[in-house]
Amino acid sequence: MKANKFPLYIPTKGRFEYMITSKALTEMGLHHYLVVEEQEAEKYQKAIQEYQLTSEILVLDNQFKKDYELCDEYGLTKSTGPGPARNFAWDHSIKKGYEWHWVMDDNIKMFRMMYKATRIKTIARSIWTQMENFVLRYKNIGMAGPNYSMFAVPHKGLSPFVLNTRIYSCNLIRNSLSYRWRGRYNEDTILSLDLLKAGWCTVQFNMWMQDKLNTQTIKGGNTAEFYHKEGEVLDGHRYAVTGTSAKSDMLFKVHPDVSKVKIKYGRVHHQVDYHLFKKQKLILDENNKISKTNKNYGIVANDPNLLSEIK
Amino acid sequence: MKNAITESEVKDIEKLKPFKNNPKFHPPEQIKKIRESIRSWGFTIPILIDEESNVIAGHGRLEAAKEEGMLQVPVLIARGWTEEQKKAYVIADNKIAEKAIWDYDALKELLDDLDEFHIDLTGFEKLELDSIFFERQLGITDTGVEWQGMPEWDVESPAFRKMTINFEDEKSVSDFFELIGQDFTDKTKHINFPYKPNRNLKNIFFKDEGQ
Repeated sequence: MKANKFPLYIPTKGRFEYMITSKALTEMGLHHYLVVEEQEAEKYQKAIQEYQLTSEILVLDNQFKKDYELCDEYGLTKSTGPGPARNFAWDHSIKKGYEWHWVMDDNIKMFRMMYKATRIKTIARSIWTQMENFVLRYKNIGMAGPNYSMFAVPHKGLSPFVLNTRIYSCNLIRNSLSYRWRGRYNEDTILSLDLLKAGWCTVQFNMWMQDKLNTQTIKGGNTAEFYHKEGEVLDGHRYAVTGTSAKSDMLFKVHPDVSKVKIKYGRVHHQVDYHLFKKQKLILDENNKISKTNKNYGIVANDPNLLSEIK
Repeated sequence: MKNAITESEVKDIEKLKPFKNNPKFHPPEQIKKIRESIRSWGFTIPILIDEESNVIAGHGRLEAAKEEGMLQVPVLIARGWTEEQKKAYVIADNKIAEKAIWDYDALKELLDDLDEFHIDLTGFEKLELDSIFFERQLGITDTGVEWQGMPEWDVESPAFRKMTINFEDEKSVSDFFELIGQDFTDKTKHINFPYKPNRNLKNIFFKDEGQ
């Protein structure tokens, strides 16, 4: 049973009562780090004990907040978002001697695998090895990660991976990159575009997927820090109606050549044109010796009879 | 040439006023680059102001000059411009420059001739420089070829054909199900014809052998 080669990090704030991604990784039996702010460390430690999680706490060094490139003029008067904690995780993994690291959101409730046009839950640790091994075949992938399962709708034209697009919420990152997370909002898109513009490739897997809780459905994180603070939640609504406009504006400010701001479903959304990068090809790493014959890595169904129903 | 500006003069920096509603924000990293530029080459482009010393173009240079402790700066004075002309120029000065396109081969040749110290002065960020010198291969990636050796990929629907049916009212729903001879509930979203029970996938999951 092969598990991940590279460390897993979850920056989290104000969500010690949920521990959603931690529970998913614990179910897989995976050690992972939680990057938390000092004032919440004790509460997270209690949650780890209460839920018997395989998590280890790392307290965020505040210098990462001070040094963070926010891409706006508000300084530390507003929340920085998860960027500083993600940069902290990046540096931590380098200090630990790793060449890549995983960093993910704190509201991923499960991971899935595509099997015969069906998105099936997986607790197999080896899905991480599979993603890592695919990425290690190439010398010009900067970042990769699983797609949201709701976007990986099975149909004839769906590919096992999409090249050169935004990687969000669960990211495998090459440590030697000279870039870092930046931006108060939209840092996933900003980093993806930074890499793509520099010539790196990104890979978004449809073979493996993540199930996220819908944005703004639990307390803490960006819900508290941005959406509900900056937007207005109308009576009877879960979502803030205006809290995402600053987010879209920022992306437009940082990458104006490839992004547009649009109103969709009564909310402000950003749109990025990734077609400009579609012709950046993957380049094989001749030094990579990972076997190409280990197709399924010993992954099996908990109940083969149920699996046989899928045709 | 109408309203041509031909001569620059020197003004006290404290007399210059930023344009009201200047739409461009100059982040600290950019100001730092401008300061480095002023230190290396001096003040090569005067600030454009109107007759009341309102800055029309050059807000970044003004900010950098202040941070450098300069007391005076070279200016060009736009005389006789209407308010509309000034406002349009505040935007145009920034926007028109964005339309220029780099010839990256020529740029790379120039950069190749510079040492690290001088490259730093060009204003290019590490990211942009990486992009210029990055090894790229352009073309279409064949995902099928690249996927070889990875888990089996099969997303073809087992259905011959899928379609959505919109019902006008509740009676139409019950008429339809009576017609095809199938039961339904309020939660029915998908059916198979001929009848085949929907798969219950809630209890199935993948794991590692021995896990």
